[in-house]
Amino acid sequence: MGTARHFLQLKDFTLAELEHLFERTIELKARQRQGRLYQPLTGRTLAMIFEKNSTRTRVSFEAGMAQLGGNAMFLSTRDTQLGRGEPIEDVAEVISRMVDLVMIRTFEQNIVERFAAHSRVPVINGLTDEYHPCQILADVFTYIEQRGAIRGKTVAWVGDSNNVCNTWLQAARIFDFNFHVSTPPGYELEAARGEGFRSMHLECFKDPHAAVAQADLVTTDVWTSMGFEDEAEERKRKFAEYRVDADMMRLAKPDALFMHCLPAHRGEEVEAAVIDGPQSIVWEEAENRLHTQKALMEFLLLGKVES
Amino acid sequence: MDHEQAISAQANLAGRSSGQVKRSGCSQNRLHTQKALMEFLLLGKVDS
Repeated sequence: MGTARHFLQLKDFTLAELEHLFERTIELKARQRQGRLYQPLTGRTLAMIFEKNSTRTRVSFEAGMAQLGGNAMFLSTRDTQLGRGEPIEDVAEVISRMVDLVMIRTFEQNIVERFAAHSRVPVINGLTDEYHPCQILADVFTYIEQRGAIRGKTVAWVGDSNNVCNTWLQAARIFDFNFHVSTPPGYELEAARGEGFRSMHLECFKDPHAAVAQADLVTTDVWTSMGFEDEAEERKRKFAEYRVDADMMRLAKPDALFMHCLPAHRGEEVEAAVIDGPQSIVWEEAENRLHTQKALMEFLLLGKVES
Repeated sequence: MDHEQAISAQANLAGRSSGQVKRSGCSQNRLHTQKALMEFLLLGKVDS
C-alpha cells in the first residue's frame, strides 16, 4: 500500500537516517528552548491510537505535534479497538485516508505491521510488546548529547528482557556498541525477538554485576511490563538480585550514566539513590522523547530537512 | 436554494476542486463533505 515510510522498528531506518534525526533533534530542541516558532506541519493531523496506558508517549507526541503547528487526535480503546469488531486492515484504510500520520501503542508487533501494510500515511510504533523504537531513539540521542559518540561504548541492561531491551539490541548493531544483558533465569532475551541474538554486539551474563562492570551506561526497566501484571509478585522474588543499586553502579566506569525509560519503581528495579543520584539522566531522557519524536514526525512528513 | 441543497452543492464543489478524491471511498468522503458542511455552517457560502 503506497510508498509511505514507517517507523515500526529501529532498524527500519539506516544509520545515516538516524544520525540525520539526531541533527534535526539538536536544531528543534534549540528552537523550542529559545522560543523560536517552527510550524512546518500546520494543517497536518496525527492520529494517536492507544490500546495501552501512556503518559510520556501521549504528552510528547501531542505537545510535539502542536509545537510543529499540527494537531494530534487521541483515540483510546473506547474509540477504536484494533482487530476487535473491525479488521485492522479496514481501520488502517479509513484512518489513513483522513489523517497525515498515525502513532499506535498496542500489544503485538503484528498489529502495527498489519496496520502499516494497509496505511496510506506513515505509521509510528509508539510501543508494542516486542519493540519500543521511540524510546531508544531518545535514549541513544540522550547518551550522545551527554557523552559524545556511542560507537564502541558498552551499554548494560539489567532486569527483564522486554521490548526496550529488544530495541537496545537493534541499536547496538546499528550504532556499533556493545550490549551487555543480565536477566534472571527464565527471562532471557528470546532469540526470535532479539534480532541479532548471535550478534557480536551482544553478550549475556548470569551475574548482573559482571554485566555492569566497566559499562558506560547502565539501564533497566520495571520488572513487570504492561500486560504481565498477574506475574508481578513472582517477578519481585525472581528479580530481587537484579536491582540496580549504588554498589552495582560503582562497578561501571566512573563517568557512567544511568537511564530508565520510566515509570520507575524505586526500591524494586532501581534504588532511589541511583535514579535520583548524580549519574542519573532520566529526566533529560524523558524530555528528549519530545525532541526526537518531533524530528521523526518532521522526517516522515517532509523528508530530509536541512538544518 | 434551501440549506440542504446548498450544503450538497458545497460538498460537490469541495470534492471536485480538491483534486484529491480520485477513488470514491465513502469513508474518505465523510471527511471532505463534513469539512464543507462545517465551512458552510460557520462561514456561509464561500466562493471557490
